[in-house]
Amino acid sequence: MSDLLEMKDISKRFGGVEALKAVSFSLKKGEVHALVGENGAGKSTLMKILIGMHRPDSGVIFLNGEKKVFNCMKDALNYGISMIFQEFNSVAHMTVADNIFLGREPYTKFHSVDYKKMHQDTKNILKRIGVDIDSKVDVSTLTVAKIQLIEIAKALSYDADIIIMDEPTSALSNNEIDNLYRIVKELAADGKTVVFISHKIDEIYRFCDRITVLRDGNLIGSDLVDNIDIDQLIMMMVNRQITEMYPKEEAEIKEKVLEVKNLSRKGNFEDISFYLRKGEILGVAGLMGAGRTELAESIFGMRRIDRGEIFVKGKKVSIKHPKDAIRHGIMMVPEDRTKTGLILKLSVKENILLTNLKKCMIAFYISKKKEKKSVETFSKILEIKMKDESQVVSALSGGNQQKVVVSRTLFSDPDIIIMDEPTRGIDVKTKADIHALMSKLANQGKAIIMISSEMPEVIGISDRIIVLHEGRLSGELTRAEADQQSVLRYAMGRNQ
Amino acid sequence: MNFKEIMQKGKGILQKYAILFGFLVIVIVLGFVTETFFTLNNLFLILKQVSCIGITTVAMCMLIIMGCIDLSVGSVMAVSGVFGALMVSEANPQWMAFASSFGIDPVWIALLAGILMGTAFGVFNGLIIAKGKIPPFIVTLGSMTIARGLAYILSQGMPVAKLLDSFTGIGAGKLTLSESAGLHISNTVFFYIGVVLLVSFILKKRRFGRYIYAIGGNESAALAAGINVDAVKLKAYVLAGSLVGLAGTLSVSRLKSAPPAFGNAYELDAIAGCIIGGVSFNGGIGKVWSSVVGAFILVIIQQGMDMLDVQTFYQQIVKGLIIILAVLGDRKRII
Repeated sequence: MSDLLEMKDISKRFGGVEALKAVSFSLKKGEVHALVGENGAGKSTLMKILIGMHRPDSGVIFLNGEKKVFNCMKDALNYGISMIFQEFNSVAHMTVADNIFLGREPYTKFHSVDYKKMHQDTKNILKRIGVDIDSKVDVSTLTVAKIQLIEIAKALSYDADIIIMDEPTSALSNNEIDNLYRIVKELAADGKTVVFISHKIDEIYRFCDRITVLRDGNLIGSDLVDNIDIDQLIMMMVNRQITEMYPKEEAEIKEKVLEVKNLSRKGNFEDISFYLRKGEILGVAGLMGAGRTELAESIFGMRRIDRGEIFVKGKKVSIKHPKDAIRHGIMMVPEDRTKTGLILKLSVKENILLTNLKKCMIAFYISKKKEKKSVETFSKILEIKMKDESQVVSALSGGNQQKVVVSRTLFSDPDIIIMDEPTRGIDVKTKADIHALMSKLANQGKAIIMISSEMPEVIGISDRIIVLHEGRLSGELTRAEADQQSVLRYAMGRNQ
Repeated sequence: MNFKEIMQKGKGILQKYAILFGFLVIVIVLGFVTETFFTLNNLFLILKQVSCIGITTVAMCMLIIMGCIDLSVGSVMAVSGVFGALMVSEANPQWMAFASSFGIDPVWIALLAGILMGTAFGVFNGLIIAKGKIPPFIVTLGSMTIARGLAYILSQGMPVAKLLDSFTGIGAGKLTLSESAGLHISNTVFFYIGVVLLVSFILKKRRFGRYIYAIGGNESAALAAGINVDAVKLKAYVLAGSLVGLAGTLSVSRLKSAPPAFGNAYELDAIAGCIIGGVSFNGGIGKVWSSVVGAFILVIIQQGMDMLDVQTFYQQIVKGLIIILAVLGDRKRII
């Protein structure tokens, strides 16, 4: 069978960085094709060239054997190529239907927008992908997972032949992922082609027929899923074998450092009580919307609690602002690094030092020397890849950005660290680095709360796991008791 | 490097520094067309004209970097100037008596009163913005009108005149470099330099300054980093208010009279100065130095047009075009 699409010897350079070096990529009709690689490997760039967002410096694209040039996204759409972006592109204060049909609203014969048709079509599309969302609600009122599903619906509504999904599952719960799996398989059966970009290895094997691996802008290989096993794949991605993905050192667990009692916040969570001990990693599991992030942000003072008490080292504390939490030795790595984790316009240095600039003061001014020294300590420990400490943080890859957030957390030397999805959307190597670091920190006597949607991660590095279901504590498991089934059962609210 | 690449690079540089190139062209043209432009005298004149609005532009710059704005600066300059002038106006004996009752030179009371009036408006703006969570644009739009109204009430609608010579000496005074050549540097210039150095230091070297950039860059990330965002905002508005108060009082002392209508639309000049200088309107990016460059460009262009006898009405059009061009140039810059 001939290829539906062929990208040949595509090269692209951004300033001094060679993002793609003569990469070739091909798609067959009706396949689900995984595009994998670490952050910065060039996956997104390659796809952005395919949809006409970037123009390649050299190389050609053939569609059905014909040479094509895509100058803008509209060109690619016209040829039946659409993409679901990792970052959402929805207009918050417009309805679901408005968003899906943005820029191509159907008209009535009087040349006014045909809302009736628009809502009807939206309903049909949503129904097709099995999503229960009212087409008339504002997108701003929806959860991240729902917005993600709407992005998927939007891409499908173009009736494209090639659909590119950039980490479509990062915000989805297991149920929703199952649903997406069904949709993807249906699309493939209909003769559509799906490009699936993901960091989650089990998903790649579950969803895809063929895998293409990129590394540092080079094509490493492309083959059928059956011909590449997991070890080989990781090898191809990082060029070395990762023997242990979750290197958990046993740490000595001591006295309680944090205890919360009957914590409640209307609409988010209710009557949550748990404790955290020195040297312990406490995993917090649950499905999207279970209230995990809200709980963490409430303990950290970013949200107000309605009821309940927080004790730090046995003493009752009042936390109304993150600065209160930090004063009591609690620090947090937020879920969304671009939204609440980092100030993208500022430098690596400024971001790392922000919380504890006090340490860099001499008399009444900030000392450059002290700043440099502090940053060097962390960039060495965490191996942050950067030009120098004054590089703007937005220029770093996702994994390195996450390391900057983690550095800031460590710089204020907290006793209790809350990490919300610490490895979401980052590459395999950085992930392993962060896991190793967490393990080391626990060993040094820090207490860590880790929220994660990745089951193997929760089970792999937690000493104890609490599970939330719809805002309530549905279960608690020790490391020995925990396996995927038991955690999932609690997460779905089925207490035996 | 081939020809095409050189052309591309050239185009990039031209876009990046478009505003400076435009500025240079204007200066060179002015130098050739007029005889007096390239004289020291004229330089000092420009300095003098920049200084008062320059201080206000510095204050605005700090707020814009924080992702905020202050529309009330023009009116606050007026009410501060009026309030300060009342303390030293022989036409208003009851205020003068009040100022004298402190037992120190009323000139100091006048300067202090002006600064305090500005500070008070800073506190007002800052508190409502930080605690009330109301957008700065709306709050300062309100206080703009309030300040103007207060200026009229305090001055009873008339310019506050007959100011003590010792007071007008602050702004109108100068450092004479050469009597024969008539070279003087106005006192206000030193105030301006002082303010620029002070605020630069704060923004670069103080934690408070770093927090201003952080809040302007990403407020929720700043909050998550444990910064007391409300307190920083309040502090910034208070500092800006007192600088504007100082600028208003200095202006009045230089004018030797305090008309309540004074400072009208100065907020636009201050904002324009920041933008022309390259302070990002989205917050998080900019330097005090940018506001200095911007303020100079505005004054020089104004003065150049005066020299070339361009009518005031046309001057406004030119000024507007320059603001838009500056932002167009800025848009091409990669952050």
